[in-house]
Amino acid sequence: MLGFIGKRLIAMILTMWAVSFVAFAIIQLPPGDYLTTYIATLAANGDRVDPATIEALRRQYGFGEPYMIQYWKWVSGIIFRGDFGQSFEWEAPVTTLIWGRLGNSILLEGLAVIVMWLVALPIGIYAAVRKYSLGDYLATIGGFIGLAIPNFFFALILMYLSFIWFGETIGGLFSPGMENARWSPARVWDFLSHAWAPILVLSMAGTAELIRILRANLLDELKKPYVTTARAKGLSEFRTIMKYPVRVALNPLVSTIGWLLPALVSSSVIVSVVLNLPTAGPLLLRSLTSQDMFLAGAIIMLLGMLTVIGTLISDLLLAWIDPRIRYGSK
Amino acid sequence: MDNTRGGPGNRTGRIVSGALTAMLMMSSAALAQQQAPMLDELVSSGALPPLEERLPANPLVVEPVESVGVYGGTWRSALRGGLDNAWIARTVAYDGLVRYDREWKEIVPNLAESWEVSEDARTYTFKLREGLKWNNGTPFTSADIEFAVQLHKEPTYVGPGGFLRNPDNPVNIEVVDETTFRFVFENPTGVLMDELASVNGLTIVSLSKEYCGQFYPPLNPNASEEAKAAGFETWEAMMLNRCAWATETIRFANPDLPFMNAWMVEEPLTGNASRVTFVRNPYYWKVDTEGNQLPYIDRLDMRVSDSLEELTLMALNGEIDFQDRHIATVANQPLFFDGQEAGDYRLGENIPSSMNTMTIQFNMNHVDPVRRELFANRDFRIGISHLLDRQEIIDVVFTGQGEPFQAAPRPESPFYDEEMAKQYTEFDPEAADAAFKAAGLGEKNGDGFYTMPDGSPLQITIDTISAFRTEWTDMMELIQLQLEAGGIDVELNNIDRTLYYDKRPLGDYDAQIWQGDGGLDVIQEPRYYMPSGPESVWAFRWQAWFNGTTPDVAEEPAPWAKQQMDLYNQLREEGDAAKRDELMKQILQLAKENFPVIGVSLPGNGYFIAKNNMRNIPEPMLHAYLFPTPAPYDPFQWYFAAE
Amino acid sequence: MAVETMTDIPVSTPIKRAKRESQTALMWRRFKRHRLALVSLWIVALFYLIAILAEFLAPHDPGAYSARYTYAPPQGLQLFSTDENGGWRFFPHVNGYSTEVDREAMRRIFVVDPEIEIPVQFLAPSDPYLLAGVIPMSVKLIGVTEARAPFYILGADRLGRDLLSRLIHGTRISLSIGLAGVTLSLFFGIIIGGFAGYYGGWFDSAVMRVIEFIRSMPTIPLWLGLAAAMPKDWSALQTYFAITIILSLIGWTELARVVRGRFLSLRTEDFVTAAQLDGASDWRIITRHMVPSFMSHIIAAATLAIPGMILAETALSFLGLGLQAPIVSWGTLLQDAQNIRTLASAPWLLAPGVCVVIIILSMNFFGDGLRDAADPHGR
Repeated sequence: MLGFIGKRLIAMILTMWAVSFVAFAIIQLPPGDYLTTYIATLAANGDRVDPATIEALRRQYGFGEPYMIQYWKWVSGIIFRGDFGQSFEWEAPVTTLIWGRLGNSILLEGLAVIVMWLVALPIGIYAAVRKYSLGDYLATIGGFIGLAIPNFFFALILMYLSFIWFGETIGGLFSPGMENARWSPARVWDFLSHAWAPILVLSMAGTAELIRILRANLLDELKKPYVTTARAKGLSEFRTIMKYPVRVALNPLVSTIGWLLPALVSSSVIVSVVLNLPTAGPLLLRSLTSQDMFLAGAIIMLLGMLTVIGTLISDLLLAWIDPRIRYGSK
Repeated sequence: MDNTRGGPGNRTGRIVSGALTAMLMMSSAALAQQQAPMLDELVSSGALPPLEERLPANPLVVEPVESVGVYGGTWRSALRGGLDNAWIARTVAYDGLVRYDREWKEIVPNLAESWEVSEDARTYTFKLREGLKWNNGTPFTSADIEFAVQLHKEPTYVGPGGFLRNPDNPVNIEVVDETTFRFVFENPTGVLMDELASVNGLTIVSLSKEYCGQFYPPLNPNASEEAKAAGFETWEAMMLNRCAWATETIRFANPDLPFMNAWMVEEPLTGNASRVTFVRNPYYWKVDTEGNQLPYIDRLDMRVSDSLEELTLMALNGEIDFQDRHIATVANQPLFFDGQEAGDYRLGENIPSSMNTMTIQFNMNHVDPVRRELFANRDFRIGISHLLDRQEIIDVVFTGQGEPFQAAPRPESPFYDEEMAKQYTEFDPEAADAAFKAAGLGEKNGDGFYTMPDGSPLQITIDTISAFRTEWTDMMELIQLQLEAGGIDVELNNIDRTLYYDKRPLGDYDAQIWQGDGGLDVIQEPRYYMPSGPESVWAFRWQAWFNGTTPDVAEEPAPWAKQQMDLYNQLREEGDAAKRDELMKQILQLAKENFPVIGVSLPGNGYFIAKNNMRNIPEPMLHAYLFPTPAPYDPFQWYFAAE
Repeated sequence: MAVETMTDIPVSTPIKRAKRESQTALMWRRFKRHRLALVSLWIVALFYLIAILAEFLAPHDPGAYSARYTYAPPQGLQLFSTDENGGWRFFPHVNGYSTEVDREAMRRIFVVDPEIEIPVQFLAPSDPYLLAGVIPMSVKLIGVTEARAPFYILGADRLGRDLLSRLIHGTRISLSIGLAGVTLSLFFGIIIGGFAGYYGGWFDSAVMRVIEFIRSMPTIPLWLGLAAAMPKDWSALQTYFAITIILSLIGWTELARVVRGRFLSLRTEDFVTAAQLDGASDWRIITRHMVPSFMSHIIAAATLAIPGMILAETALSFLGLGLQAPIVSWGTLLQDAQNIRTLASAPWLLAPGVCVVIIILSMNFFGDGLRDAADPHGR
């Protein structure tokens, strides 16, 4: 097991390096750079910018340099100094901008994952065990509807209904006075009273998908001879199902935990825009459109890092649950 | 008959209002001065000097729109995303040396109580109010103005430029005493006062020498090292971050930065902020007619939201006290109209300064010589114009609001010329056919489309940008169908704004669309009447020749455009407003004859949302960028009635 | 009889194959038992039929607009007309509107007027068109005889365009798009994942690293970056197809990982070992023995992937990266409806959302039924 972990760690570092390279490539991909965007904005406001000034700026930001040199400057800053570079738009170090939002993202998406599993696990098992029962149909239909509604649209409808029915505008994560307060029971309560909506929206599609896969996997397992054997041996139905089939049915799911986060982050970008959530999503979207490249690069990089770590954890879990994988991957 | 409204070019730039100011001074001194209750305690605890010491010797006396107000309350509004500084510029930041009056007719004293212009229009002498103070209590003097000029002369400092950095007409400052200084220009200038009174005039008064000087090597020899220690590459970077000019977004991210405005930063606008708040400036230097220190409203609270839907719902729910930006769209109007009672707000009227819902600019400087010749052909553009069924667009997209209109000054403008505004606006396919024949287009092909003069297929790609104005998508869809019905094969190319700008120097676009700037601010924004700047997309290479900004793509303009440029150069140096207007009329005459840009329709009036108990808001308001509505309507004298 | 049989059938005669049902027939029989799946199959088929016959079914051109009927509410289609005596007759018609413009609120007010009956004709003559771009026709399923009469069964949008017609044309785009992507995803996923899982070793490690790497890129920035780098002269449809293919190049990874996991646990199973000992080639073992044993999972993943593509299209549209006007898809229609004004005063414009929900539900049930039917352990 130790050797397995060691190998995976080395692989993780290599992946991180590749992620950083591609993150940098992506932010370089669109034509033009931040300065063209900036000059465009100034020009639209009727300002004229001196070409000499632009040239000076370009040098200052290092835009003229070869790709590899720009990349090396960026990456070495991150590794050796923890410096993600400057955000052009905010004229401030990237690190001062991202941590709070990234924290909100992790908090919100983490809660969404927990809600997903808490809801999906019992429903999925029930639907598989009581196949084609009324409960199964209800769970399946409910789950599929959850899967079928585009989540940003669901968010919008939720907002509108909450306005019509309760006279409340839901949006953001905190009430006005609570935004910059320290964590306290009151703030936790305030957070929950705002966060229910985004958590509901974010976890909806994922829950449906989990139910579906869990049900399918469990059905496969339940038909296997060893289940029949277990039943024949007089094991209680609950133990029969929970002890092996559920565990085996879970393992393809475990392998997806690591991917839940980036998928959630990506899908939550749009939801966050609709519900105005202070997460990394809208910041990323904005920085990408304005080509604030170091900010965008840092966010992509950190999200990538999250996923790689998530994948590592899910691989370790998988190896732990299903020893065949551990030995098989030699 | 008020036909001078909004014609900035029509106002005299040399009002010396000494007498008026003296009169107001007397009246204000006669009254007992009062301050907001929220400041009383600070004064009695000694944290704040008493009001008399905070106000200048002759505070600016503001005539309230309806009545003298009461103190208190928070004005709630919203920004769209964290970098939406324009709304702050339009509410908090508009306090330059001078400002526009509420009719946008005249330039009136503000931080400067008077000014004088020399006969040759090269020397401008300003006299500041005596005893003005920044919001931290330090004096605001000529030295601060001098500092701003000096800083903008640093070649490595990236400022907004404007008249401070105009390479064609360098300027120097002479400080006479604490409250008197002179701008001395190398050449005559006639447009300085307008620049100073507009939103572009704020840079010069936005930098406190005492505070910002600490980041400036000539004043603090250690500035460069300190910047490096603080994590900035250069002192300039730190200066931009800590001491941003005018209305730059990051200016509102630093609560330590001194302000001269009615409200000052309380909760800063950082990258993580979900709201930004402002609180009254205890040193604000304006009073009402009864001597009460302004502003009336204690706080401004701006929600930072990327979600237009959230903003719309907030307004419907009565959580917005005054706003027009972002939410007051044509589509939302019925929604807001119906919600007035439930949300306890009212809709007020905005008159846009824009003269068109959309302008179509054919690229007369196309890199392809055949297309260049075609697009530069006036008959071709006339034909296109006749193919547009403008009334249909107005009915469908704007529910009947507006009227067919070319790229021409608005009816309210002194430069309005009905013939220019209405020529070629009638929907007339036969006239279009004739015009296309005159332009030398080939016969229609099997698909019913006109061909190039040599018989090859003619397809025109119009660059559109749907993200900027949602109506444009609808308008372009209609226009495409209308043009195709008339035999012009049109492809729409919906692109990002950055790409829009990137394409300009390359010169390989057929046509681009944009909004109708220059409806009231004709002299300041003549981009559709002559090749005046990079926004004159229809003649990008000609304007490059004129401005000398991108010499690699510059091309010698057509004779008529060159004539316009000569006239505009004369205008810029002309000190007499009436003569400037005359020159502008000649420029417009040339534009009318050569018909460079096609317009669609005159925008209907816009609207704003204001809570019912919010008072002293005049109506209707003129709405413009250079006249940053609603700031010229003095939000510091708005107040919440107690009911 | 027994003797006869013994003599009639030589020992060497092969077992009669005809008596055994083919795999497909078996599946179909099992599938039919799943009612919901069967209904869903018909719904999916119906939607694809609509997609094929779009020009024939849509009463109007999807781009045809009308200034007089912006935001006109649905008329509904009435098949019978009642007279004053209470009697009724078959008379398909729609009711006309009375309209006025509310200048103050800036909108048109519509009242459906039951007095005005506009006759509706089946197989109505129309301007000539090409069905599916090939068959010339000049008749539509349904239409009004008076050319200028309003005919908006499902209502009109903000430009007075017929929602029903747009919905029908949108069906074609939305359903066809993504199929290519899903097919590609499946292809790559099974081949690459299968080989990685079967052979293990360095190939497996390399594939896993690549997958891990691709998966750790959040998709939104990738889309944004790629959309910006797309050649400028491509039409919106070309761009979208390109993006779909790019999506599938990311999408195969999920399938590949699942397939690999299955292979890893399957390859030590007895039936695989038996086949290996039998001398079967690797290709044969993978395609004939291993793939069928988890076919169900692949089908479940594929049916989920198609709706996933449809949803991805709506998300892309929201960001302005997907299809763009004048191309009509469910995504662009839904994008038009994404504002408070629509929710408050023109809820019929949410109909594309209903279509999305229906097709996704149906595809899922359909896939579910298929999965159960293809399940080798199924009873």
